Amino acid sequence: MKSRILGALLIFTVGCGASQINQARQGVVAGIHVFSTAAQALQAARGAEEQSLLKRVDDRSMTVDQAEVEYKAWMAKGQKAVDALETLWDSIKAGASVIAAVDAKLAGDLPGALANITEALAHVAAALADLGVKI
Amino acid sequence: MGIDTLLIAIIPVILKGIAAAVEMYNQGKIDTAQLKAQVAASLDDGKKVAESLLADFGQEHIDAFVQKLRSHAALP
Repeated sequence: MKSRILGALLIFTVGCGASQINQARQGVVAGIHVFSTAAQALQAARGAEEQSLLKRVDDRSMTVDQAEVEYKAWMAKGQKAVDALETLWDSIKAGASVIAAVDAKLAGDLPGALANITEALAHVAAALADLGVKI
Repeated sequence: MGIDTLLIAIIPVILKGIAAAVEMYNQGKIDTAQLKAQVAASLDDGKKVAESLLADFGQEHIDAFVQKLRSHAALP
């Protein structure tokens, strides 16, 4: 099964014969979906990590100090994912602005906006993969 | 209501907000700067919904959880 991020990337690369402006609209919507799904998955993953560490401390298979080190390392990766999501949202905002400009018959760099969203999606995918989070 | 449900509801609102801003621009009711500001505002409305789900990865949360770990370890 394709992941949601792969699905969103396909919208950019295939386009299904849609006009560039429609492709951009679909890309913005797909980006919003990925943002929300990834945010939700990240929150769930953090909760699961915390429960796992608590259990390991409870059953004495790990010391508190070890758990603290492991947790801080996990949270640092999580922060990178949050940063990637923030960048994704910025690129979605910029993309929507370009769409509005083109709709208003003003100059706008649609390919550039799409490329930025695509790059931001790739960063989100990499950050989530680093945490073992799949969406 | 889950986030997917919320976003399915909110995405059309965002896109309608953008379309309405473009329409106002084309009718000469707003200028380019106002057009951009309205598009950004439409997206910020959507972000507030999703952002509420973004986990807090700050130091405060880390400290609180480490404290919780220590409390658990102290239990008999």
